Amino acid sequence: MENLQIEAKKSSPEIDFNAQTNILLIKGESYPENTVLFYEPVFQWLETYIESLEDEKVVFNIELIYFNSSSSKVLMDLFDTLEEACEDGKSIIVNWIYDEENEASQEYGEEFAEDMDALSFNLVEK
Amino acid sequence: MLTKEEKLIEQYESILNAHENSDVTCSNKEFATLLKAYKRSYKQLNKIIKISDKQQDELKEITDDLNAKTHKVRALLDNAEQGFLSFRDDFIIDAEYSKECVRLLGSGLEGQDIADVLYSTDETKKQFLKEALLNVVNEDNELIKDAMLSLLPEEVVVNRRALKLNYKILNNNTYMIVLTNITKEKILEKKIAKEQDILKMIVIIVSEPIQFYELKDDFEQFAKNKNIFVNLTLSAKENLSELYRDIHTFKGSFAQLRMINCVKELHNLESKLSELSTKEDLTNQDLLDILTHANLEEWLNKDLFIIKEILGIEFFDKQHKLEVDDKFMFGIEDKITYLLQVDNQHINTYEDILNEINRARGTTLNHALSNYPKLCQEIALSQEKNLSEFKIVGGEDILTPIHLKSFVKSLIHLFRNAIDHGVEDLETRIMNNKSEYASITCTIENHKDNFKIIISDDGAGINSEKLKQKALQSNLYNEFELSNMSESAILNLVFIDNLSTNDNITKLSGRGIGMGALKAEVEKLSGNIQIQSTLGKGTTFSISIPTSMYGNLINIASNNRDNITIEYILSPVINRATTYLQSDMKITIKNKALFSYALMNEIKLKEYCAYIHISGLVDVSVCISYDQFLLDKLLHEFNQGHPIKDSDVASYRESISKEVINIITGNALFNPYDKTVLEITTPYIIKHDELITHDLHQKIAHVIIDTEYGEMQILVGKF
Repeated sequence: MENLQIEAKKSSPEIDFNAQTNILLIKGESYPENTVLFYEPVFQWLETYIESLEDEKVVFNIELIYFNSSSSKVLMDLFDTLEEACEDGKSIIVNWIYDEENEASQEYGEEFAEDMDALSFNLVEK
Repeated sequence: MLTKEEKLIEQYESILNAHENSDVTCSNKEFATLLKAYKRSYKQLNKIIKISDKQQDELKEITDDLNAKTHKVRALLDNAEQGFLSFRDDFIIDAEYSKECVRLLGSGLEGQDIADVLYSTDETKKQFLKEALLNVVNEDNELIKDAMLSLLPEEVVVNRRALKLNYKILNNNTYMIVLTNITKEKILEKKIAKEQDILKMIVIIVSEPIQFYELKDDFEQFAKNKNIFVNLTLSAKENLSELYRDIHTFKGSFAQLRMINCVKELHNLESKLSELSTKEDLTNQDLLDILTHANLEEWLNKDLFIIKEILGIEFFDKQHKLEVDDKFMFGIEDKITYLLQVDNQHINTYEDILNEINRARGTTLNHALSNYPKLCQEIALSQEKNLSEFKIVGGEDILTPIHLKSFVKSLIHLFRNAIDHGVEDLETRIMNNKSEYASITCTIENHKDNFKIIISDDGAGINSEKLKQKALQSNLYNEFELSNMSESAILNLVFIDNLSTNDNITKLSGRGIGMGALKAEVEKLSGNIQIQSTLGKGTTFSISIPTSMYGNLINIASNNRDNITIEYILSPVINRATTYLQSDMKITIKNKALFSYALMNEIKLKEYCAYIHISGLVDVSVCISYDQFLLDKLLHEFNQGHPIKDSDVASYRESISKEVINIITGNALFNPYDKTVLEITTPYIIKHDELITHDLHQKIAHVIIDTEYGEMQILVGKF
């Protein structure tokens, strides 16, 4: 299937989903004017992608410096989606990448990691 | 697109709507879905709130930190004693500016146009600033940008304060100005400039007193009789142009002496006169009116007041003769040293002034003449004549005592004449196959008994035929006398005042005075001038001044100042005494001779005194007194070590003290050429408490020579 690539903008992160290498990346800052609109294609692609997955190992790297409240809602939806996929037997690893000096970002990662059972959620210091 | 939650809400709402009048029954599975969705939403809500709270805490921390930093920066800028402000390319000042800006430019700056603030009503300057700044922004090359910024006006006066402006570009459309209050510096600068002007004026006047007195006298005459310069028999236009020319000449002369006040006022007067020239119905009365209102005396007095303040009132008493007091010159040097400390921008000016002072002090003959080459260039330039650079050669070994000063000054006439009459204009020189640049040389030769100053030019030479004619016209000599005159006698006619071969009277020479003044100065010094001149080739003046005591004494005697007389007797006597003690008697002198002027009762004489009286050109006495130990040493030398009987010692001591004073003064003042000039009596013995001056208040010169055997005192004065 086709890869999904969206360039980073001032208020939206870079999206680089590669269906060949199975490495997915969200990187940058996230406070788009319309969060739902921005992430809609992301979710659509993911749904198709997850459905097509068999036993490939997927690595999902997330490196967000700043995100607003509606983006955190999107992130939780994303992790739920991934959790469900894992419950279905898919193999997905999330790497929550944060800067060592950014203590808050580490705490946000811990917050997201809570309640994730099937999904492996790693906190990775940069 | 609908979210999961929205879909669920819509689904259950439609179920609820369909059962408006009956209860909704719900299966376990449906209830479980609903619960799960609610749980999920609740969980998400809590997480979002948690994260959001954390983010807000973080934000607050950052904001506080930023505020603290901003505050610190502001405090720094506010206390920097410099104003900082910024504005955009619409020239509207930003709200952030430092406190000093308010002090310097006034409050409420934000939103104002920077050009209005800096230049209030000067539209041209406002426009210039804006255009210049826009040009800077539009320029890409950093170097050109910097160059353009440096061209912006650096200083501006706002609210009577002088501000220095420093422009910076913060980014493409923001400029910053750093304002510095330089009012104090400006005031100091003005003070320094004024002080400099005054110093220059003083130094020039001190070194050119003749020029100063002439100008002062001329201008005072002009001021007194200004109305007669409006000749009622002539038209107003004619009078105006004559008057204008006179005023202009005065202005130029005052400018040469840096008498700034006169220059300024005469310049204004000149402008008024030139305005008048456009007046159609100009009358002589108009001119008289202007002159009546022009307070010429007051203008001059303003400058004179400053000169008197510095040089002292005596300066004006010594008509046309100025003796520069070293103390005064040291005072000026001190002042310059001070100015150098506070103002290092004008080092060259100060060096010039110091050179002038040294020149005015004229320590050596070479130095005393050293300004003439420069002056000659100036004169040549004003006449559009070309003159090669030249230097005074020799004379470094000849000191110029005070009495040579007026002679040195009078040499100006010779140099002026050489350029005015000797050096031809360029066309004539080319026509006669001469080099374009005329040459003048000045050589000083130091001979045993005299020194010579030889001044040559390669100009037109003196036209002796013309001189003869002039002499004839002036009825000085008749044709017979002239025809019997030697060539050199004819050339010597140039020294006769009011006889000049130049038909046109110029500002510099041609009025036929000056060369006579020079000759008089030379004769005062018992010197002579010889002229050699070849028509078309040039002229050489050779001035010889005797340096022997003879020459000096004549000069001193003609000068009616006792102190100088005393000093000029004293110095050869001291010189002779020291050589006598050291070379003839092999006695070591411990210290340099101590010299002072003192009243007789202030001087403690030694027991053995002898004195001698000198008459003739001068009328003074010389007394020498000895420590007994020294006298006995001299006695021992005279007696070649032979023992002396105790009973004879007293009379021997008297004889020796007479003998020594006789040898010393006799040798010091002996003049082999003319024995009538000075007459020296035989020495007398006098008791140390019997020596009294004719006038009790008369100070006498007193010198102590300290030797290894005790002191020798030498007194010169009237006693």
